[in-house]
Amino acid sequence: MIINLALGIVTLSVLLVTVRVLRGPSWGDRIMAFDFLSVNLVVLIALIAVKFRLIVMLDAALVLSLLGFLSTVALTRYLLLGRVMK
Amino acid sequence: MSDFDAARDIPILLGAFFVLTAAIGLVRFPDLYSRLHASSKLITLGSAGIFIGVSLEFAQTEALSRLAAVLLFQFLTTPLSAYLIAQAAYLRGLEPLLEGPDEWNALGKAALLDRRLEETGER
Repeated sequence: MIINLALGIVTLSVLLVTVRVLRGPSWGDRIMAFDFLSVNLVVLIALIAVKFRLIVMLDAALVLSLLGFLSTVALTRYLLLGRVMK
Repeated sequence: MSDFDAARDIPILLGAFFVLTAAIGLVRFPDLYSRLHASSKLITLGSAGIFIGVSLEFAQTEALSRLAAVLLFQFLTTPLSAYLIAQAAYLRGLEPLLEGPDEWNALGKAALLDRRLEETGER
């Protein structure tokens, strides 16, 4: 019951942040909103793991949190320096 | 999931409230730096609350180890990514809405750009 309420609240925040992704005036806003979306998806996957009693989903949450940080670092490096690696 | 369990439900509800507050701040604030301030701090707190509640729901070692890893990693990397976005925006020339004194701004930008170029060997 509470899990359903929390899932609804986090989904509402995902929809609100999608507004910022579509409307963001600069690229920094979009990178920030995508970073926020990745953390939100990690939270959603953890709540889904509670709702359906699936411990396997927590592995997906771990991998998604790693990939979200990596993509943020790559995008900021690309937009600041013009390339990602040497 | 049938009845109210306070030890599990109160952290989850607090975390969901903070996540929603972070999303509202990210949509409503006027500036990139203020949006970054609101969203990065509140999403750290909200995800920590939700992960603590979820780990109180599961009692197995497999779930607890993964949740501890996710929580630690979020605490380490959310401030880092906010710092990287703010640094990149500042060095690309996006001025903050509220400015400090002029000499602070000039000093900060020159020193930051110097250090960034030295780190990456761009010079």
